[in-house]
Amino acid sequence: MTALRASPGNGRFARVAILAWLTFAGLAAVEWRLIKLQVLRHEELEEKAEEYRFTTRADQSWRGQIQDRNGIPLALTMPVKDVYTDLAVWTNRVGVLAHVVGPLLGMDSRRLEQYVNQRVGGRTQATAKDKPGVLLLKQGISPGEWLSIQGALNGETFGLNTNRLPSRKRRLLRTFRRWTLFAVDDQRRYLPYDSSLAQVLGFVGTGTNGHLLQGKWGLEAYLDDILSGRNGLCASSQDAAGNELAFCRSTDLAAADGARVVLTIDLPLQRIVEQALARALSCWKPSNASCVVIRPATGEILAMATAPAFCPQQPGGSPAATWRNRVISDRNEVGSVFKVITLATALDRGVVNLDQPIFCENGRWVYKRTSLRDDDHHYGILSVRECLVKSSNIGFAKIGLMVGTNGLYDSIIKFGFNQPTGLPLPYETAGFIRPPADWSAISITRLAIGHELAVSQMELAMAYAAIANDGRLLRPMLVRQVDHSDGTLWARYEPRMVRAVVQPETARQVRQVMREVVEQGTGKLAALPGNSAAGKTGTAQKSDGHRYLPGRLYCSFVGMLPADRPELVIAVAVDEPANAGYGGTVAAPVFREIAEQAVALYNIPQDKNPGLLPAPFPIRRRNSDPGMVALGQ
Amino acid sequence: MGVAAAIFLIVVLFVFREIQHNRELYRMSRLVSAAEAQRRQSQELLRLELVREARIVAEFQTQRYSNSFSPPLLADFALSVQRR
Repeated sequence: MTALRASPGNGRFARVAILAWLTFAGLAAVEWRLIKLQVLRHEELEEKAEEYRFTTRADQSWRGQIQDRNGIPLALTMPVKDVYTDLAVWTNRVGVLAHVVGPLLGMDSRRLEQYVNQRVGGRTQATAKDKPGVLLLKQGISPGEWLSIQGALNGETFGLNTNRLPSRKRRLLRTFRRWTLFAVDDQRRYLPYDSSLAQVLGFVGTGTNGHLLQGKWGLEAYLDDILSGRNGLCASSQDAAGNELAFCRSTDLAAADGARVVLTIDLPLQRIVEQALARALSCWKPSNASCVVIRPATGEILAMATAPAFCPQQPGGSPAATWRNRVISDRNEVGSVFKVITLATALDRGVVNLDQPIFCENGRWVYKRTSLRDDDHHYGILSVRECLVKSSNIGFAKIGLMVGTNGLYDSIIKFGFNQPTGLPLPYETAGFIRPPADWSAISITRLAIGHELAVSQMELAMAYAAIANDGRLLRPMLVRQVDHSDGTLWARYEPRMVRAVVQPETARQVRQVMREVVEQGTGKLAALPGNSAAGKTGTAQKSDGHRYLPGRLYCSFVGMLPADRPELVIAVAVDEPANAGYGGTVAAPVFREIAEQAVALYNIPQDKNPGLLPAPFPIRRRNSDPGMVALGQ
Repeated sequence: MGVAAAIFLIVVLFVFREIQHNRELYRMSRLVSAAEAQRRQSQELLRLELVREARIVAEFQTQRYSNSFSPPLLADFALSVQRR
């Protein structure tokens, strides 16, 4: 009996043993768990932890400014915010949150409710800017607006009674305030002059290259690399709350902002040109009008415009045809303005002199069984000089024959035609002139008068600039300087001579005859009251590739001033004016309007007595539109 | 016993030192983040100021040339070969 009774010592031992076994089992379980986590699943879990802990942030660079030659900003980047919401906080509270968020963002609460409901229900497609689980609510608000929204959000109670709020509700309130609306930095291109220089500057769109903005058209596209700069990168770790731990940074590369590009464009002159083209557009109703102003001594482009323009901040709002910079992208048969090239070639080669008589066949000449006319004029014998002043087709066809096929072709190429001028603009077209091997028997008589060829307005303007510059052809300049974002010089571009195309004396003679064109010939409407000008008119019928189209004309005028030592070359083209007309009646007045104001702008001194000049009698000013000159009845 | 207590104290001190060090790093990290946020904000302000200035200049230029036939003021830029 006594032996069967358990002693108190045995019971204590059993309890200790059980406790020890339990402790051992517990420790073994913990050990097993640790082995499982740290040994068996080590790689998987380490990867997960790294994934959460490791964070990278791209420090966005600022897109560089584009300025005119005087430092006036033409395109600059402004900071904006895109406002997002975390869809998780909206669950079961769409009505309440829409009521709060709607007024803050200036949106209709009911429509917002519907919109969020659709997204929560997955009935609408996410936009390109939406990220998983979040929804873009408003794009491009100013930082100031965002600050006031944030302020209002921080005071918002979201329908909760904030008196003695339990800790769970306090956490909920914090979540609402933090994630109902949050902003992501964005950039927007700001153009202070709206559609001014639209075709030259181009436009930007959403970046697909890691940058927020990417150039899509014009200079913005061509110089995208240097305007974009380089984004910074920060690779680091974050704590459980998502705060970055700066001391854990493994990569810290600062962003380099985009360069500042200084153009040769002179904004005041650009505005003058655009206004003149706008008036030409309203007066002549052409399909488009374009103009380029060049400083012949340096090749700098002071103004370049095409009308109608478009708004680069909303390029989709205008037809894509208005995006074209027609000065460089279009090539046309230009007609008589090309006679200046033929004349310069003939004079330079000593084939003719200015007073040499040419028989102009009384207005109709049949050469190789093909007829050539001088419109309604029946010129007999004209001097070479008069051939240009009166713009005789027959006279110049004969001069072309005297120069010869190879001579004319070589000279045309020397003047820079048939090759892009090398401007930093996309989609520049080169002229189209067939090689002599492809010419027909009469081609030389047509090329000499600006037909059977297609050239861009830029090529033509540069060829005239060569004549203005004593025969030296320069490379056109649109970018004057590029600066680093800190203001230090990156590159400065100097005028570059391509080649001498004619002798200085030849150029001087051609300018002298072109002056007569303006003072006595077809370009009278380009004459300025106190300043001399030289130029040539051109009117060419347009073709559809098979035949010439009646009534569809390409009217142009290329001129320079002052005539004896030109400071500016101005090329104007009016494409398909509705009221028909000629280069001398449609484009020459536009030249005059621009030149008159350019004279005042640059303080170009008067070099002729206005009293001695005949007034261009066909011109009268319309009372309804005092800015536009128009032909008399 | 005394040695064990000393070792324990040293270990505790090291642990506290490590905690303190980490707190300091964390505080510095927050300071760095705040400074960077400040820099970004000042850059934003600078950009906004540039935009504001550009807007004023544009307004001035627009008014200057709104009357089409009034002779414009002389530009700051002058051709180098200008003759007076």
